[in-house]
Amino acid sequence: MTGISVEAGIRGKWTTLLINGPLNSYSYNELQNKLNELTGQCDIAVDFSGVTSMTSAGIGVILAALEDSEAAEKRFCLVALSEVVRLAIESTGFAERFTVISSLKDLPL
Amino acid sequence: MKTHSQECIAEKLYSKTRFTVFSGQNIFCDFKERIEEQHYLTEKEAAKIIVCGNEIIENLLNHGEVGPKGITVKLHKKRNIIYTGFFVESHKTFKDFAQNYNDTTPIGIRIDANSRRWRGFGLLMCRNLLSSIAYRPGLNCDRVLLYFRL
Repeated sequence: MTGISVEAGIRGKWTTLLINGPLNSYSYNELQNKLNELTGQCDIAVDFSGVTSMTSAGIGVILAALEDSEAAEKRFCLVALSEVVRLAIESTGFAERFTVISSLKDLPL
Repeated sequence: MKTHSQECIAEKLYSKTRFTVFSGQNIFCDFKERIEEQHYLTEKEAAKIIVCGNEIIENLLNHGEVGPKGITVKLHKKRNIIYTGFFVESHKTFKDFAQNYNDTTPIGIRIDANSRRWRGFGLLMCRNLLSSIAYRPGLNCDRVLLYFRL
């Protein structure tokens, strides 16, 4: 299956993760490994601008990362969701738990 | 004789598509592209079909039910409903699942401590976005039928 690429960067106090490709049960490991490394250590912004689609497997990973960040009192936010990704998250009923911003430029300080 | 605009309206009200996607590295991208090509679907309608369709395709792949003939997708938009059917070669796992599934089947969302991720969202997502879903095993062909009321 087509994998994803996950590119880490720094923007102010935030560690950014730029994902490219479809996020599903065949590709989520790449993102999960990166999140496991970083979650709880720093504020994380996951940039979805390159994510073409996302299944429940991807949602399961980001929800677990959100909870780990909250437990460590770190910030976690999702950036630049496409219509398909936004709808996938909303359809779980957990959308309100996530902070969503439209661009990395809008990250809070 | 119908005018051009009447034909356009009729096409938007009653439209059908049929295509096949194959197990392989681009199956999710292929499915998404084919749905987005259907000009009679609005962006919101296409997004709903893509989200639910991805879940169905993922389940069919994970349970080993997609043979060399791939998954044939039939899409039919009528005045107030969109029907989407997924057709695959029949498989015993599907039959067992279908016999035990009904609308009250528990969703079973849980955190998987080993893989550190939440599981069981797929069924919840489909139930929240669809009017109904049906699993129909057959002798040669298994079918998953999704209905979206507009």
